[in-house]
Amino acid sequence: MSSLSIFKKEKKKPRVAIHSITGCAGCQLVIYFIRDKLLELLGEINLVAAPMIKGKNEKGSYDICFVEGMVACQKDFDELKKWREQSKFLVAWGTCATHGNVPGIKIYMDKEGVENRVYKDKSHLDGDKRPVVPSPIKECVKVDYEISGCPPEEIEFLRMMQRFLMNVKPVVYNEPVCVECTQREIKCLLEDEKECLGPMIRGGCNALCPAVNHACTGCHGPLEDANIPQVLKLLEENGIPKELVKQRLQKYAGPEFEKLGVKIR
Amino acid sequence: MSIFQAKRYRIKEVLPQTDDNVMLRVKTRLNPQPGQFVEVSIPGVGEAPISSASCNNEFLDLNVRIVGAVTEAITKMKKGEQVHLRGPYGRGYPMDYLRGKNIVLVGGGCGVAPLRGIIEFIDKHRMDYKEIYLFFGFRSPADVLFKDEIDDWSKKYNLNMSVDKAPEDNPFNCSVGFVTKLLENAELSTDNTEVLTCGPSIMIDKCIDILKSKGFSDDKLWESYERHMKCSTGKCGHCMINGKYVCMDGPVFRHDEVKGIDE
Amino acid sequence: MGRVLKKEDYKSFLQKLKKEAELIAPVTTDMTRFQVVDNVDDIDLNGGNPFFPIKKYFLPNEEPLLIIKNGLTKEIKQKPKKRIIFGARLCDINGIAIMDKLFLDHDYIDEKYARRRDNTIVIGVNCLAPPSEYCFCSSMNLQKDNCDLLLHERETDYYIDVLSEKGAKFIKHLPEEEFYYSLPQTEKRLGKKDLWPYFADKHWEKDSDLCVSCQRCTILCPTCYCFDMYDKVNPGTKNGERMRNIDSCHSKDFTEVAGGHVFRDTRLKRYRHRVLHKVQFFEDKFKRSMCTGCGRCIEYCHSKIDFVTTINEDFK
Repeated sequence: MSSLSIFKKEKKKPRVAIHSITGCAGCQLVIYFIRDKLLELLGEINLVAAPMIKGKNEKGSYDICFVEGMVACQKDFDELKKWREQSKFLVAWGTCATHGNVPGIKIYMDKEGVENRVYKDKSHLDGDKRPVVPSPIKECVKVDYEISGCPPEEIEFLRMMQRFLMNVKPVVYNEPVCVECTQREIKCLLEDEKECLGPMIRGGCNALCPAVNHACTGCHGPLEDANIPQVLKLLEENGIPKELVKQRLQKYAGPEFEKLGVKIR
Repeated sequence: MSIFQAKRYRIKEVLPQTDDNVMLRVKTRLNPQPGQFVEVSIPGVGEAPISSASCNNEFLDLNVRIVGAVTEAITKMKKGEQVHLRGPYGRGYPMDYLRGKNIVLVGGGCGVAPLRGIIEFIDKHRMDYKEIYLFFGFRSPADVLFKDEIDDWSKKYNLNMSVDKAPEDNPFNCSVGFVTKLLENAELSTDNTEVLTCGPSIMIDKCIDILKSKGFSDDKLWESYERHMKCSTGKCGHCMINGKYVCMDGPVFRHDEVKGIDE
Repeated sequence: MGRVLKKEDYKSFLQKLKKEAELIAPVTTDMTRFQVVDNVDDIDLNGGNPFFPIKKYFLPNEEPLLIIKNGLTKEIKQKPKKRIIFGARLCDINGIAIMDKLFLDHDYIDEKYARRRDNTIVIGVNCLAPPSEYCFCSSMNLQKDNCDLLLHERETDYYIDVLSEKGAKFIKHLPEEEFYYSLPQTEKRLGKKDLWPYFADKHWEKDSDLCVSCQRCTILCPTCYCFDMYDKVNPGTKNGERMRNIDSCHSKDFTEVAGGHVFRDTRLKRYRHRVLHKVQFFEDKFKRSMCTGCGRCIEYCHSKIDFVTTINEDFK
């Protein structure tokens, strides 16, 4: 057996929680769908709270808390704040949590209009259901690690848990979609004059969409180091309507693109 | 056997140095030359290149500064556990060439660690070398490495030590300010003298400017480069600067070899 | 001395190769790629230079170097497959010769690469005309002796140049002939090889401003070998592998050291580093350019950045 202490069974397994605020819950499902490896993993961790799959959920003192979804109403904000206080590490899990995603598009639309269209009766939208400015969770609380994706990849969850269990800082895949796409020898859609956002979007998805001839719509959000003006120019040269590009940028990570200097309002 | 395979060695002792520096004393006969480095790894976490801080056939001292996941994991290891090492790699300080010369060592922060190997080497071959001057700088008294040895060094050699700042007390009674200031004020003869530096690149650049203004020529100045060597065998490309592999051609370079090098 | 293969015997020759070992050759679907051939009728030598160079069969995009088990690293004992790569062009073949310099001729021999090299037979095909407008191989001093056999197509037959013992055994039964053929002539040429005088030239920036850091140029280069190493471990069992994966100097993380400092912090520095490594640095060290003139880095660049034109026309 190993002589390294990090490989010895720790008496105390890390307490892990998987919580959710406004979103479609798809990011959580990614974790539960890992199946075999998740079962193995459950021997190493103590999943103390996961309201989607557990009846009895513990509150407080989490070592790692995964949060999916974004802050859309006061209740989201209150719960998020509570989890933050209770957790050693808070991980924003999925693009809603990291960048706002689809529920965040509201900031580019007429607030009243959106609410009227969604709710026939708005009378219950008060108290803690009162809508707030939709925002990714890092705008509300300190986030330790971010994994974007709509939904994120299971490998990213496993990689992060591996590092946590080794007691070292997690690393997140930080290359553009083009890397995996080219390595898989997929015919370039941007070259084919499609509206592929690949070069400026964080990969890790193994080029899921381009592999089935579907242009990357940017669900992982932008790379910090991306040369966005040049990618936008390439899209323009491909004859992609400006309006479509704008919608694509607004869709998953509008605020993030704005932070990187792109005008999409 | 794969060139990436590492062997296991037992940790003889863990010698905490500062808040973010821990020295591991590993039982091994690898005996890297001063300035050389080894790849230290923990399977499952990864590898990190660490300079040798000693020079003997019984053990290897590795001063590890916590800067990333691997170094953090290494510093959590305990006495009696085994660490994976491969190496030694690289070109160290030219100890043979330096015989019969005066030597000036300039180190900053954890850059003092590789110089400690030189001191150990010189201790053993004292007759081969002339005057030894040490210029060591640390951030604060709390950041001083090898605290137990400072006294011994100051007795044997011409030790000049400084701390950037000493907010509370200064138990070493050393000067406060950058080590470059010490160097600037020092009276050093360029005659038969070579200077070996190791530390942050900004410190090395400043030192070289100062030493040149004192009349040292480029081929008397030696510097150690910092890069993240991944394979350490001149292949992976991570440590390459304009065609020079830090892992094979360095990490120690004579200043005229790398003078004016731009990325 | 070479041998002559009649066109009517071409198919049976391929079938013979397929029986010998795993046969890899260009196959055209939505584009032409090197892949394992199931049916020799699929082989297409006229589809242009395949998208991805043959380096993937020697240095895969990702591969385990060591096994990690119970906190120890263990050797991987695995014999590589016997392979025949058919239809590689001289640019890719020279790419392997260049990687040999690093992985075989250096102080440290890379065992995985060496084993794959030993177990692979490379049968090249001479380009009668450059397959793409971006080719500039005639200026890159390509050698033909880095493969085992080299096919040169003629009207009714193929002249097969025998370049190694390993290759010779496949065609011992064919008639011998002495024939001189020329290597392809490209219109595009790299005009300058010594780029040190242009290190600080302002035109680097013209190109690097167009670079989107997608890394396609390095991934598709027949000689880009830079790699990263990391440990991949199953969080349940803590067993796994120490991996090597192809890395790119165009990635900002490439020169990051612990603590977060990045040495090549601008796109300009990263772009210039790639081009200079290809044309200058490798030449300085190994007396041979690392670029083989396949033109993939230009052809498949999103912005069609053409370092050859920049070097030829802008550097003065």
